[in-house]
Amino acid sequence: MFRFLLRKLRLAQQFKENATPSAGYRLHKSLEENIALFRAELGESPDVAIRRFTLNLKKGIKAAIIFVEGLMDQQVVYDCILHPLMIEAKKETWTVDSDLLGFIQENLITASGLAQEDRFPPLVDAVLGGDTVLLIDGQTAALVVSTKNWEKRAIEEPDTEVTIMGPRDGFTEDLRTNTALLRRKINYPGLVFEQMVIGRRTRTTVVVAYVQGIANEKIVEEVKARLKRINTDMILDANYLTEFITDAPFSPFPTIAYTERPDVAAARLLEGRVAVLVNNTPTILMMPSLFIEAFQSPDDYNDHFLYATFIRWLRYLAFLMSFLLPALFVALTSYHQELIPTPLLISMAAAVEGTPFPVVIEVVAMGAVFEIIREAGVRLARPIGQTISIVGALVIGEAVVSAGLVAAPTVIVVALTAITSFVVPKQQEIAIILRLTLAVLAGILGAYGIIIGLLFTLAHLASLRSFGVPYFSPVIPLQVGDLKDVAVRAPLWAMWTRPQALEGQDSKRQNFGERVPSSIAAEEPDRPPSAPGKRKKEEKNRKK
Amino acid sequence: MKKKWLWWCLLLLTGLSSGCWDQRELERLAIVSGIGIDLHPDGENYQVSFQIIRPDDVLGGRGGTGGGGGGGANKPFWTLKAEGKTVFDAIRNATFESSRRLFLSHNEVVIINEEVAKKGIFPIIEFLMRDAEPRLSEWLLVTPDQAEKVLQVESKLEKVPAAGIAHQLQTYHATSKVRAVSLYDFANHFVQKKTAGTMPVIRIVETDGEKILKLEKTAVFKEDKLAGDLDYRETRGLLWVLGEVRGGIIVLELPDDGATVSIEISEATGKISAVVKERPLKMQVEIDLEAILGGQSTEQNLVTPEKTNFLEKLTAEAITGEVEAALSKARQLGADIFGFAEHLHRYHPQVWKELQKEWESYFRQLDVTIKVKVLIAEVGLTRRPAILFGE
Repeated sequence: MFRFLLRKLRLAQQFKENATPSAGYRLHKSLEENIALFRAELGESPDVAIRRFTLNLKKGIKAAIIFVEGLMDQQVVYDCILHPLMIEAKKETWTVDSDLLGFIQENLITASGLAQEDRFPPLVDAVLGGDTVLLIDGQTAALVVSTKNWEKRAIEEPDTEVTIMGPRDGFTEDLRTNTALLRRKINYPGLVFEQMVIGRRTRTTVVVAYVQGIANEKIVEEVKARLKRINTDMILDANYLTEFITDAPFSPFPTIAYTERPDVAAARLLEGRVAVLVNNTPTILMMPSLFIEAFQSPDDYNDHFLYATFIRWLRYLAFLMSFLLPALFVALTSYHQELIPTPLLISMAAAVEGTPFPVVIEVVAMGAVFEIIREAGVRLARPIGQTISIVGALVIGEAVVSAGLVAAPTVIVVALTAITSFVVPKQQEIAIILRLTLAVLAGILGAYGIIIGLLFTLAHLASLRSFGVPYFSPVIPLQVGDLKDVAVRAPLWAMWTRPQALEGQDSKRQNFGERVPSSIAAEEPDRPPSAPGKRKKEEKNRKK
Repeated sequence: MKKKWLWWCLLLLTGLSSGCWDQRELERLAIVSGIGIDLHPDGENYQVSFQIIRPDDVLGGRGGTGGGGGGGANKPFWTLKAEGKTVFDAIRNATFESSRRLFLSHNEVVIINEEVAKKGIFPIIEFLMRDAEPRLSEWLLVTPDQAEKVLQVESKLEKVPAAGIAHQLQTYHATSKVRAVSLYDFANHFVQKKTAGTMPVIRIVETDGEKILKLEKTAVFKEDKLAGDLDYRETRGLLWVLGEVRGGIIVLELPDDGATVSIEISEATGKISAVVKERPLKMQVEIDLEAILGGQSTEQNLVTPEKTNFLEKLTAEAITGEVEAALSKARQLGADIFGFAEHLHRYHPQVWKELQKEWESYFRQLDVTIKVKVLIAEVGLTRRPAILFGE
């Protein structure tokens, strides 16, 4: 099956040679011809506006501005372009030399972003990107005035990653806002944004972010190289990129992490990871990503480290339960009854008495029903969502048992796995897949089946890599130093090295065990060459 | 690439072809909680009875689950009888009358009728050890009554009678006058040199017209055949030597005013050693006891150094008496229940080789010195008598 898919992929590659207009043709001298060019390229779409006016400089020169309504700021266009050129220009007596455009650029237009451009395709891009293009008759170049402004969602707390303490801001759909959010977290010149455009038709702006002096340059290069190789016509969401650049496209495990929280992104960047921001989506991608990351919540670093360690182990336990519990239940009740304590066995036997289906079928069917209810709850309009939970709880939970269709312990097990699977939301999809496979294996082979299933999973996990970093590290291969944020959540002053698995450049965060930063270090911001990271301390200070 | 897939297939195949497993749904199993073994009236075959749990009726009062059953009217267990040339045969023959396959993994007690025990229980123990389902931890008992009748006596406290018997055995440390013997313990005797196995004896007694089960005596086996029994006092004598005393009360009578004093056993150890330099050799039993003064029927203050020493002496005498009793019974039966032979075999193999042949007669006249050390370490919550009259 995989080979079939691969062949498909190769076929798709051949379609890549779709003609993009060979870039580079230039503007004409005549204004009308240039406008006609734009019309031909952009069509008669009502949102593309062409405003002709007379440039009142010496003698009237014909000019026009082209913009897309809704993407630009009306006020800026009036204040910075139309007003100076039509009214201000009239008042004064100017001496204009040969370079009319340069003169306008320097003396008249008051907008902050301004550039000259004489090739046609970039101008079209600029217009579609929300900028305003100023065309002047007799000039073979145009001015691009930055007037981008459109309706944006406010910065809100992301629904997918809720924390009890810590900052409440989340990324939005706007790329600039997102880069600004990161800049605000990491006030350090080494934070680098590199921009590229991916998607032949969507022309989505994608930004690769990393911290110079910390991130492994090979990984940065690899990320950029993989992104450049993408040749598709639409990138609507961050996940579109994930599927193109992920290491193991068929693995159910996500080797690229995502987040909607700037604090998480900042922390990951300062650990030496690379972030990829995609325009028009609030999720940003982070790579390389390790399996264990899903178990680290931002709250861990806001709580006391002892409590955080305890909670982390609870998370491990919940994750194990979320995919093992149904399988163990099936194996115990249909193969290894001798392992159940006698009183429990009697209760279970009494509950199972008279139910029509084998336990495997009960577990798998109830698991499927739960997933259906969950899916319905997610897709449904919010007000109706409640109805679903009532129907789910009453009909499925209560009625099915009292009708004698399904044994009560099965419902308990399914409900418990449902709850535990929400504890680690980032690995939830795997938990669902594993849960069903293991339950079926347990139904065929008992505990033996579970062991086979787990062995295969573990072998797969151990062989996975994310941008060259072993996915299951620091457990396999064992890196004792990195366990300080895996087996326990060590106090921040004791986490003095960045994760070694990432093989970043500057592995030291602070001096070992140094709890009170000296006053000099606290006052002077770090410069690139030395750059000991201080993210946790900074976060702490900010909260105070 | 092709080869890799072949390897995967082989790997899977090895997985599938190993071991024995079978799927058995919970509702297709008859959970056996107790097995009784009698001789069939024809004298040839075994008649084996099974106490099978009826889960629905065990939960009975809790309501809820099944519509059909009709609740607590039914007994929570069913006694099924089957006969066969061997115990295993009988177990399989039981399916003639049972709709479900018998499941022995949760069996708690095996009750063996005296007649069967006299004939020899080797085949029974051998089967229970060999088969995968029965556990090594199940308890063995002997009964002078029909084992089948014993299994039918309802427990006054437990829903499942066999569980009741198991609990009854496990409370032995309240008195240390009964010995709880698991299949594993008993099978150990077969391995050891000439050690005689023991098993508790259970029987049906009638009080106020109701049948209840009582543990009394300890059966003594020579090889695999029932030879005789020990009473409560002798049983504790045996447990002192084996170091299995976990608790219990020793009642003393004060010689001066005839008052009684209860000494509670708190910790005891027993150790066997042998003096082999001279012949006839001597065995030594050292018993170490830590005890609590648990009650007295006299007003005098017993918590003085002299009085306590005196009490310790009296306790030591009482214990010596119990051990002597057990010893003389064992000598009389010619059954080495203490494991003296095993001790010699382990620590003095040369001596054992010498004595091996005529051990039984040797044992009957074996000289055993008993050393008892008693320490009354605690006196309860008060030092003087709890209630003082006239003060």
